[in-house]
Amino acid sequence: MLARQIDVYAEMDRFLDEQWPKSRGRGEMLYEVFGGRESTGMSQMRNLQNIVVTAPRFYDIADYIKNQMGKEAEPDTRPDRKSTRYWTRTINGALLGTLLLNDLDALLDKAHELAESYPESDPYNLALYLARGWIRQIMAEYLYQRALQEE
Amino acid sequence: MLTPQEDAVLYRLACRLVERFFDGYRGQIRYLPATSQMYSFLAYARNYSPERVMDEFVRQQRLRAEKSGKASLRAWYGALEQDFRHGQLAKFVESQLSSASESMFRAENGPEQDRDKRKQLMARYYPIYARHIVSHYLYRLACFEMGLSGGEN
Repeated sequence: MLARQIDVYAEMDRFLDEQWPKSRGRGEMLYEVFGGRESTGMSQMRNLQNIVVTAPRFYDIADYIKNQMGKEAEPDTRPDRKSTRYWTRTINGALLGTLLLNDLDALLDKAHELAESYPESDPYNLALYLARGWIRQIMAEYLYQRALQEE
Repeated sequence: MLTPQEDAVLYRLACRLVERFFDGYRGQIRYLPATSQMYSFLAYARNYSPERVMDEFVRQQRLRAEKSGKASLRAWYGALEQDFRHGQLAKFVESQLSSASESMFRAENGPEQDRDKRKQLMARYYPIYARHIVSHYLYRLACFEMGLSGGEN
């Protein structure tokens, strides 16, 4: 039983390693959108990381991203709106938040796939583990970009 | 505490409810519920029983929308009410009740306690369900505003 658990975690770690180039791209993208300022970019990133690390359920993460997008969606048109768009910034025809939600969907798909091979595992708990690895990679790249820009 | 499986079902049902609404009202964003109304709905769902949410918030909002002739707003609150009483959420609660262990409970305790159990289950699910609804609604509103389609993300 324990050996099987070790196997599934090893498989997830391998998957996360394969995802590294993609996560690196996400980290760069998030740095471009949020910037490195403590009051904006860093706090947004820290809040996201905090949610992913502490969420008891996988969909708490999706709810958080959707809420952040919704906060920018008030249908009033203030002149400064453009500068306050982060989560709803359009990147290659998609909103930033939607891209992150798609990443989470891909992690959940992988978790379901693994849970088929390891039926004793819960796919949503596996997905949470993958999400924590995902945000670690993204945050590392974001902080690296921030350090480079500050030099 | 909900199991991850229960949460996943509630999430899917909430997304579906919002998607159906947006599919029906494309292009009429001025009649959609304001984000402040959604936050009020969420606050009610967090603090009161689902019956009270329906009676004191959802029904009131629906009546107000009826009076002001805002069809899409009326449809939104109507959908929330319908969902709670006879729709997909009600069916999910019913399916949980009729699971094997719940059947034993039913046989032992009769219809009155069956009603109580249904109430308890609904009270457990509704705050989380409402949160999923509000989050997905806000997400769709953001996509709608940007002229992009959302989907059950």
